[in-house]
Amino acid sequence: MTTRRELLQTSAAITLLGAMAQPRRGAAAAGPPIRVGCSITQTGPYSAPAVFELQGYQLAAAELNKAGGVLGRPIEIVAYDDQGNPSTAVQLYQKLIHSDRVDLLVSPYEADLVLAVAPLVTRARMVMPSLGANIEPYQGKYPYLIQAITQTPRYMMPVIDLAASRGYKTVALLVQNTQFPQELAKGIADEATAKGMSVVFREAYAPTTTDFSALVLKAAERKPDVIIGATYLADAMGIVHAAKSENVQAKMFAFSIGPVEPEFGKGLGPAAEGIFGTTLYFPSLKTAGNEAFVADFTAKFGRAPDYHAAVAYASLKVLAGAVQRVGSLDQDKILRALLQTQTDTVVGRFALSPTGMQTGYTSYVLQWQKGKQELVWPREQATAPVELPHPAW
Amino acid sequence: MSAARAARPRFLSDRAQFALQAALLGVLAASGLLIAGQGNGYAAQLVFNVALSVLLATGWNVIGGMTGYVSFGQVSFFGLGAYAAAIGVLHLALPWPIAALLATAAATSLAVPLGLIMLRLNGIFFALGMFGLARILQIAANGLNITGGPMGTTVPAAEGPALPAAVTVVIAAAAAGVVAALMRTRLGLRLMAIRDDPVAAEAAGVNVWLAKVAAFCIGAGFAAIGGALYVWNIGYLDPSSAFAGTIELQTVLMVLAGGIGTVWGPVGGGILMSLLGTVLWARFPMEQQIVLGALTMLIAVALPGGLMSLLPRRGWMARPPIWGPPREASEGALPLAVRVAVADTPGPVLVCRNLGKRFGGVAAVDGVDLEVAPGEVLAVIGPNGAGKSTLFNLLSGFAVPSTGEVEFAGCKIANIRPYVLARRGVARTFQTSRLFPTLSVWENVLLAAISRHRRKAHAVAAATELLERMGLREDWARLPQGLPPGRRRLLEIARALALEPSVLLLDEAMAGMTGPEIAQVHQVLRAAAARGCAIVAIEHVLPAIAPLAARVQVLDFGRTIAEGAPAEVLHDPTVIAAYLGTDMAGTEFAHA
Amino acid sequence: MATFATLVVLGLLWGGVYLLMAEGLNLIYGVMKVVNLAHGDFIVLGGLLALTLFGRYGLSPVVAFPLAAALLFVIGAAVQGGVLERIPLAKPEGELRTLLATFGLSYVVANTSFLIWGSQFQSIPFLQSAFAVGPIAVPQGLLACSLLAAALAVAVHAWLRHTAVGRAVRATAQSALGAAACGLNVRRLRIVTFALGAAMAGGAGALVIALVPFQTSSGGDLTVQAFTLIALGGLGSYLGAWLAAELLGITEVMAQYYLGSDAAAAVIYLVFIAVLVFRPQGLLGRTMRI
Repeated sequence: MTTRRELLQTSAAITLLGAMAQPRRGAAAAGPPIRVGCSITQTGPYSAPAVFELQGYQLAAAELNKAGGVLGRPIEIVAYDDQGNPSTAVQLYQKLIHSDRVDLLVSPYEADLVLAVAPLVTRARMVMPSLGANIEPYQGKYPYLIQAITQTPRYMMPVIDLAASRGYKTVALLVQNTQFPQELAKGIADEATAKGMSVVFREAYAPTTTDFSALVLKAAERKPDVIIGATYLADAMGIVHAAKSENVQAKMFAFSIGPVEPEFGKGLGPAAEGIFGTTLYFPSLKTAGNEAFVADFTAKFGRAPDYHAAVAYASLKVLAGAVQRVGSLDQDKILRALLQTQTDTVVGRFALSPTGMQTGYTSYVLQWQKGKQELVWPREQATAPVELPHPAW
Repeated sequence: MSAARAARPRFLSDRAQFALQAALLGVLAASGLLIAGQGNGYAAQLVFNVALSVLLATGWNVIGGMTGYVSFGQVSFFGLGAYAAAIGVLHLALPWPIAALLATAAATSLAVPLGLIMLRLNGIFFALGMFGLARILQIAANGLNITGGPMGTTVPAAEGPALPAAVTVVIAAAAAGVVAALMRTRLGLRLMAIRDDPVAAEAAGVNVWLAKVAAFCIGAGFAAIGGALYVWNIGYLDPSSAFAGTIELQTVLMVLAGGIGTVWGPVGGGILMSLLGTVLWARFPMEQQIVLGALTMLIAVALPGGLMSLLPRRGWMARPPIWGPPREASEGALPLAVRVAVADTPGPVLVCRNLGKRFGGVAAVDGVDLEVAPGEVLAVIGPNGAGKSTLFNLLSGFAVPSTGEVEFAGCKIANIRPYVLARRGVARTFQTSRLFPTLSVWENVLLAAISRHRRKAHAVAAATELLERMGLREDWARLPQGLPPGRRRLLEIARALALEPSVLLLDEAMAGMTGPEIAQVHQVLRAAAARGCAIVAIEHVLPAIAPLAARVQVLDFGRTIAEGAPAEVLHDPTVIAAYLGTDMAGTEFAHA
Repeated sequence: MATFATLVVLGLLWGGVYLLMAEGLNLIYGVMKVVNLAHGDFIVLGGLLALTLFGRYGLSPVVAFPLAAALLFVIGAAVQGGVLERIPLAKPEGELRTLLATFGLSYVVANTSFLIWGSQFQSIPFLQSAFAVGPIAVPQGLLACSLLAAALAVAVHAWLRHTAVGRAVRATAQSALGAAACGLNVRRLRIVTFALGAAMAGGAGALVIALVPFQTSSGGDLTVQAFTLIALGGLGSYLGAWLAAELLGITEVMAQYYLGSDAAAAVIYLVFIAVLVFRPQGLLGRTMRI
């Protein structure tokens, strides 16, 4: 994973420093605003999904303000660009907490950024609804973090359920050698075994791999029914490409992250047909307030929301709700309120374990059909029927 | 520019300038500490970042600027230091200062074998090789599970940025001080000579390998301690941050913008580029990299010497001469003769038997026997391409013979590195003069003198005396390019004599000299020969060497075709045929 | 056995792809001793251009190839003529300054691409299936790229050997001073050479984006890969570059199959350093220079 690091520097001139230490925005107009701070990856290789998050926060803030604000005060988002770099994120959260003195914190985009700022946030005793999917930070180590996104092991459970329901028995698992996919793979393997399937092939690959020919060939030798990739976008595309170009057939192809991005379909064209992916959210979901959310988001930003936008939107709404119930900005009280929150959001049911792990949110299966993403599983939320087995290349 | 050089630039005395530099560094450091101590944590963080940048830039400058080995992979050691320190704290439960020190020691020791491998390359290859090294280390770190693999790990860190900022300011100032001191030492002089011309440095007795590796290790040490400080400050470590390419880009840009190879370049460049980077990032985050990239291009094209090159390099801004300036010679204190180390064994001091060197199918030297006794002057002549310079390379250890052997003072010289031979007393000049363009006349000679004398006082005295003897003392502060060609040759001879050789190999040393200059050289050479130095001189201009040479040896196509006293050799028909062709052998030229 | 044969075929074909991406750099280095560190970014730029042409106008990469090459030709000429010509190559630090200038250029190009195309991985669906040759599946896309790489290498080689301009370029490569003394416009030749190298990179990108998804920051790794190849092959040598490409392709595919992909990822950098250290003149050294 390449990240751009930018060292923050300043000159020795104190006056210049004083000028630059001013926060960027002026005070809001009506009453002292409640300032919500975060760092978002606005530039750098991973900015595309992260910008969705920022837009989710922004829409939530706008709606809250239209409804009278929180505790009678408007919400103001203070966001900085962390460029996808953990140390920059840490420095920015230091700035937010100690220099800008924001009232509330929300999460950066990626799991490793969450992990990087977790100690700082905990030391400062400020609550942060986090969008990191891996469950380790929420086991008690960082009590002020609560998980506002589906936990990693649940990501691909519906896919396995679907495969098991069709009677598929053997699984080949291709795992990117980074934290999230590794944890995901463990969840997949556990669920597969629980459903009576067996993992006949499992191999990890470096995140910089661009050519998957050899890997796919190796997997194919075991003749698996299902080929699953714990991937991000580029490797998902690479694996499909390799499978097609070597005539590697399977009854089902599924990937964690990849098919959910529009570039997957655009980049693979006809090869994407029939590929399954997971998503935590879909615009067609029949969840609380989702129709309005999709309409407002599209109107404001010109495109439909993806799951990053949805979880971010929901997390700020939930946080605001807790603040409203508590009646103050006391972080400990807010934390207790959040831990007891059970509510329906656009993403689904929000509920937390006693240590802050997300137990309510789940995930859904999508499939590319005729150049479009369709939600196919679970059936109650499906927009189109499942198409299995995978057509021959 | 040359007019400015003609006037003798005034330098502050060495001590005064060092004091001034130290004072300036002290002021900067104090203001850094002041800002760091302010209650505002963000300000302290910024100070930390500036200080870290200065530290990294200074370290890069040692290997990149002073030694001329531009590296695109210094971040390798930054990351190594970061990881070593993190492992020390996480798994060995060491307190941070100990962990940082051990990490620096570990990375610096690793720099020795890495340097031995990587420093075999130069120029672009070295730069890109180091880049590749950084990527390999990043991949290795990805696989290191005890530090969380590719996701990285949190590390117990300092409570706030104030303490790391203060510590880093102090260390960065110390690092700049170390570099300032380095530029006044033997090692500094040797590094700058290597940057200019590694071959000539070797011929002047410099152990080029040792010096390069030393510089590499110093740069690595600075980078490593920077890495440890970085982790201590941030409290998080992952491979892509620790080995980030942008750290490299910024470091290079800082040194380049400030002034590569100078003391203040990295400091000033570090501070200024940091400022620029912050402003850009705050106002134009999307375009920031474009601006920095464009700036790099601009500086590479228009201002390669950085901002320091804009400032007049005079007075206190000038680089002080190392161990100079040479004192005025006090009346009658110095003997006029040139001291020379006399070989201990009786008999010829330099012997070669059946010496041969082939390049592919061509025998440049083909079975040459040569012998010269202490105090003897041998002229080697021959038409172009006769193999004379190759012969010198073989005699001085710069080339390995294909056949035959060379003996110096009774020992075979096979497998002895040229610098060792130089220190033992085989000095040479080069056909195209190889002087150090960024070192002054004084320093050119001093470099060889320090190879000969361990003690500073002796080396200084010897170099001063030589300059006096060769009539170059008035020009001690000039750069070689400011001298006319004849005096450049004089300088090269002086540098060779500074080694106090038993064998002096002169390769067309008097080319381009005027009559009086030749006479001066003759005087010096006679004095040297009188003290026992054997001289072998390649010459085209025969009157230049004929008065001195007892014997002449003629080479053609790599073989000796004639040998003997000058008068008989010059009338030998074979010799004339070799120079002029067989048609001429029977003409009146033969009876000249 | 069929697997082994498949791996070999794949390795050879991927070698062809690597060669295609490296040929432009080889030309520039061979003539001017300049490593264009923005080479990989030129490749990505060409690819993203093809992406836009495909997405917006439905043009296949075959058509996009010459268009991308043409645009990159213009950009390359502008870079060499406007920027790099101002650095005197004759002086020793000239090489290094040029390296630094192209280093900066790489960031400019990559981030300008980012502003236009965003940061996601993008690809073009084109030639995705495979021919079946017995039990071995030969991917069409790889085959097309390899064939093109070979054709391009032959074409450039012929151009250099048999046309007046090509000979003039070779003369400049061997001695700029001598070429100038013979009345050749050395400056114009250098501009043409750099532009041609950039054009080859852009064209390569237009095709390779159908094989491998590109991101605007992918350029750096591509440059290292290309440089490793030409260093291994003996800088400037075409036969050497081809040999090195095949060797690299086979090694990577085999390493990925037998050793796992972490090893494969490190392989290229290890080879890189090993080449630089043990055989800096490359496989074929100076025997078959341009």
